[in-house]
Amino acid sequence: MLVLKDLVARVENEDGEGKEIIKGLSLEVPAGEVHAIMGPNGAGKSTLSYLLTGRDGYTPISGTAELNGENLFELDPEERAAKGVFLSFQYPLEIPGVPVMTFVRTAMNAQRKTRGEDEISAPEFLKKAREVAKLLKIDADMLKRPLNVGFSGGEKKRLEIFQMLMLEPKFLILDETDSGLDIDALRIVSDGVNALRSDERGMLVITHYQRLLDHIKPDRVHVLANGRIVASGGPELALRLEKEGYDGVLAEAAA
Amino acid sequence: MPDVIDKIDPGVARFAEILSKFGEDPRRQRAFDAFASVGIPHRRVENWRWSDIRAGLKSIDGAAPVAVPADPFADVLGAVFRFSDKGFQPPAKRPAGVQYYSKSDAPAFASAEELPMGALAAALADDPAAVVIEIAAPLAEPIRLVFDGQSDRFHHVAIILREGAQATILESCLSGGGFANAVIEYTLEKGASAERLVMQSGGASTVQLHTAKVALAADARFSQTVYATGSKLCRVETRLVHEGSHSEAILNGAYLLGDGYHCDFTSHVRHADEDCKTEQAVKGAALAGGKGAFQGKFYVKRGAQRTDANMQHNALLLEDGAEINAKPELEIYADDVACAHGNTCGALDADQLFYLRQRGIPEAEAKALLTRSFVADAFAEISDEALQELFLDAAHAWLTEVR
Repeated sequence: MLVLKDLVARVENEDGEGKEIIKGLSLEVPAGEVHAIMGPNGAGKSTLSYLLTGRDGYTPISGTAELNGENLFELDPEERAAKGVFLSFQYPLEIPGVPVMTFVRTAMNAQRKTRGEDEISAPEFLKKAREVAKLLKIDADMLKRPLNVGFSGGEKKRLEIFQMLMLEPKFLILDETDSGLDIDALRIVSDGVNALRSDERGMLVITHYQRLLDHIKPDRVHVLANGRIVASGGPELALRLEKEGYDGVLAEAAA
Repeated sequence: MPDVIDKIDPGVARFAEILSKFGEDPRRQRAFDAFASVGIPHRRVENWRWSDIRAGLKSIDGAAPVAVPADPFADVLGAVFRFSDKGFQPPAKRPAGVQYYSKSDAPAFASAEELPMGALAAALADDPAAVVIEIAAPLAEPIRLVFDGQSDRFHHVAIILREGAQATILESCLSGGGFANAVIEYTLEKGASAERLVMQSGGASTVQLHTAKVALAADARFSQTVYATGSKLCRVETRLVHEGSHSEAILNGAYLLGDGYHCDFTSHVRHADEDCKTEQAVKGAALAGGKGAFQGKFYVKRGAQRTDANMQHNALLLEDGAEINAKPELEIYADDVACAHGNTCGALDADQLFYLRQRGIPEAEAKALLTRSFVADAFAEISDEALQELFLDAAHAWLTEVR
């Protein structure tokens, strides 16, 4: 599904001054699997998510990133989205004047159009929105409000998952989706993510903390440090990190 | 004594000629003199720096008109008063609670010196000299004023809301060509409430001046929202006075300007009594070659205590080569007031743009959606949801249409 080979990438500001953040990263997430990426601050976790989704200023220097054999770096952000790449943002943006429902429907139809599919009918869209909102315990009123404006951190994250369930992407990147969530919200959000687990989907779960992985059980756990995957293992690796901290695992990797 | 004769703008002669066809008319003459003492404003005249009427009129001289833009309010219910270069057309049926009169003699235009171009419209308005609309009760449906045409035209309208009356007035300000100059006087008696919604749209070879003079008695409420896409030269001006205590005014609006389009939002609010409130949120966006201006002034008279007034203007430069100028002003002679103003200028938010594109929305549509988002605050006070949606949709469609 997602194959990253020897990725090197820079983060650049508007004046083109940049810094190498990803320094030879290789990773493979097969369809049907959930992989977690953990790592200390500044390791390149968010950079990786922006690089894969095509944000301006995140520039690949060498290496490849392919989704189902297609070179992601040749596609605009909206084309990647239409191919099924979805990023749940660490800090979802506020869009005043654009109600949640309008936004999601615009996104859904734009993706369908890019893929050469018909638009979703209004009743079909409403029905689906109602079902998903119920699953995530989202109030119908909230969907009429401007996207994320005045929402709490937890509500914003819940809305990210709402969008995800509505758009049914093929490959999910969750960037610190657990931050800002209380225990109940964490469970609801995790249930939403788990509802999307399937043999055709892959997921990359970026997190600082093990607790999210109690709810979204990963098949593999990778440790990202200084722009590289320095250790990989099963779910037990996350438990070890939680217990020993990054220092122990990183020291071992360096040895 | 200084010789003023040689200072008179030769362009004034063109309008003096129109005036002469009315014969002796002291009221028209007085309004015209107020205009003539200033002449046709140009960029070296204070308050007209960013709206050079002289240059604008020169540039459209002899230009072929284009089709009159479609009326965004066309499908909204309500009696239509139509003002065009083909004369005045009243509604087929007089709405309940409304009286109107066509005046064959020009009424006096007070404070002509403050609004020289409004005075010019009042001096030259013809067929009829003025239309007075009196509203005596809360109205069930909006009243629509449609201003359109393709050649030079001058209109003078007076709208009076009697004590306790309530009305929504929709003004379509449309022009395919020529010099369109209209002045509308709003008088709100005690406790009256008016919502004024203006949609302006014009061709690239027309000059449009749309001026409102508003007087609020005690406890009156006036809520205005304007949406403008400009023309060769366009000025939407509002001069409002809080004459009685506890009156409230909202002066919101947005202007979106493509290449070759200009729009100037000018407002002057005078707080002449205590406990009055003014809220103003204006948004402006321009593409390369678009020119916008905002001039807002709050004047608080001595003794107008507990005035609460807030002015915000936000500009969005969508491309290099876009130009927006702003002059917010406060002049305060009372000591117990809360007056604020804010003015910002920026580009589209790159983070928001990426967020939308990550969700699969192509760049052009994402920018259109963010333009809608940007103006949303300026349309927030429109009381009717469907009308608010009409304004938001217009702003949403603008970027795609203008390219």
